[in-house]
Amino acid sequence: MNKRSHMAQTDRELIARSKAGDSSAFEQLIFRYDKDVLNIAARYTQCADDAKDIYQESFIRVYKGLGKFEQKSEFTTWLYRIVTNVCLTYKEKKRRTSMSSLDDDDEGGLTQQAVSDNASDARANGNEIINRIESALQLLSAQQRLVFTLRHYQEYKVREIAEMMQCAEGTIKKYLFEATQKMKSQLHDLYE
Amino acid sequence: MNKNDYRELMILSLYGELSEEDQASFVAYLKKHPDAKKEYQDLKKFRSFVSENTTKETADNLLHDARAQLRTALRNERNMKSNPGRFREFLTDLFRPWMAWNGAGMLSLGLLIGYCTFALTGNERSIVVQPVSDRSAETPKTSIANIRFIDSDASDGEVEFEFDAVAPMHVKGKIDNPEIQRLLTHALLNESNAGVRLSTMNAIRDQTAFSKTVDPAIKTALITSLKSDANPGVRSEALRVLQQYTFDNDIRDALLFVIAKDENSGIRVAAINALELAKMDGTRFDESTVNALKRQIENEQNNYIRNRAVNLVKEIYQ
Repeated sequence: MNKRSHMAQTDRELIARSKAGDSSAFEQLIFRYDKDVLNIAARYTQCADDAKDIYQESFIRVYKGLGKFEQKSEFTTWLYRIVTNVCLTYKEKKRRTSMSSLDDDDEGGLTQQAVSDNASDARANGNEIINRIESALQLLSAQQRLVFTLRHYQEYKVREIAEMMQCAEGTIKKYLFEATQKMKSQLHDLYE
Repeated sequence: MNKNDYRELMILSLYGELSEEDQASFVAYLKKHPDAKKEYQDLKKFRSFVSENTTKETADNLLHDARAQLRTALRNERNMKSNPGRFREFLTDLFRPWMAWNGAGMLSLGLLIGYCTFALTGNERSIVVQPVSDRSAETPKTSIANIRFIDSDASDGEVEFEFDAVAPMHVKGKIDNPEIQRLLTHALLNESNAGVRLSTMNAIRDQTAFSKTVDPAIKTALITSLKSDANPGVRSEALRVLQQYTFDNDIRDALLFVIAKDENSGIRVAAINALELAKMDGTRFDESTVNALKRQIENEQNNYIRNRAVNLVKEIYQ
C-alpha cells in the first residue's frame, strides 16, 4: 500500500527479527497496523466482539504464516489480504451458526440488537441516522459491505482494494457501485 | 460510452480517483446527458450524507482489549508451538536405543522441570517448579500417554516414536507473578473440577484485594467464567471477584449478558445488584444499557427481577 510504503524497510527488519523468534519485534510490527485492522473489522461487522474476533484471527494467521512469508509483496499487502479473507469467511461462519445457536447473542450481539431493535429510543438519543446507515450496511452482501467499508470509511483506493481482495479492479468497482445503489435506496428518505 | 463505462467513471469520479483527462470526458458526458447528471448529483449527495453521519474511529479501550486478548492468544500459540517442538526433538534423539526407556522417562521429566524453571525470564524466575515426588521422596509418578510411531519398521533394528510424559508438579510463587497468573487463568478456563475452579477464583480474589494491578487476561477469563461456566457457584464467585475491579464497559456488558441469559435467578439478581452498586458509585449508564434492561423487563418471567430492573432503569434516569 502506497501510504505506508515508507515503513517497508523497517518492516523487513522487524519481520526478520520476528522470524528469529523475537516476540517484541512481532508486537512492534503488528501494532503499527492493528488499529487500522480493528477499524476495518469494526466497520465491517458493526459489533465490538465480532471485530475483536476478526482482529485476533487475522494476527494469529499472520503469526502462523510469517515463517513462510517470503516478502515478495509488502507486508501490508499480505496482512490486508489476510484481514479481508478473515472478514469474508468470518461472516459466513457466523451466519451458519447463528441460525441455531443462542450463544451467538453474546454481549456484543446484545449491544447490536439494542441498536437495531430500538429505533425509537435511538431517535431520542439522536442516533437514528447512524443506526439507519448501519442497518443499511448490514443488508449488503459480504463483498459489497467490505468494499464499501474499505473505500468509503477507510479510504483505500479501488486499486488497493483489488490487491487486498485479489480481485480485478472492475469487480471492485462493480461491488462498490452495487453497494452504493443499495445503500441509496435504503436511505433515500433521509438525505433527499 | 456504454452504461457500464459510465457507471465505472461515475463511481471513480465520486471518490476522486479519475485522472484529469477522464474526469474532463466524464463531465462532458454529463453535460450531454441530464439523467446521468441527476444520478451523479444524487450519488454525491448520498456520499456526503454518509460521510457526515459517520461514527468515530474505534475507541481506544476496544483496541486495548483486543491487544490484551491477542497477547494471550499469541502466548498460547507460542506455548503450543515451542514446548512440544523442543520436547519432541529431545525425545526423538533420546529414544534411538531401546534400553533407554526408564532413563528417558526420568530425563524427559527433568527436561520439563528445567524448561519450566529456566526458560522463564526476569520476574518469572521467582516461581519454584518441582515435581511432587521431590517433596515427598516418593518415586516419580510420571505417566506416558499418546505414543505416536514415526517409524515402526524394526527391520533395520531401530524404531522411532514420540509420547507425552505427564508428571504431577508443585508450583510455588507470588500471586502477581505472570507465570502463576497464566496457570491460574488456564485453571479457571480449562480445569474440569469445579472445586478447583472455585479455589482458583479465591486465589484471584485475594490477589485482587492485595494488588490493584489487573491482568487483562485474568479479567477476560473471569468474564468468560461468569458468562459460560457450567457451575453456578463458580459463576457467582466470578461475579464477586469482578465487582472488586474498576467498573468498565466489559464488566457492564458481562453483567447485562448474565441478566439476560443466566438461568440461575440468584445470579441474575446479583448482576442487577452489581449494576446498582456501580450506579451508586457514580457510574453513568448509556442508552444501550437502558435498552438492554428494558428488553429484560419485557421478557423476564421472574417478578422480583423484573421489579428490580424497573427500579434500576428509574434510578438511571434520575
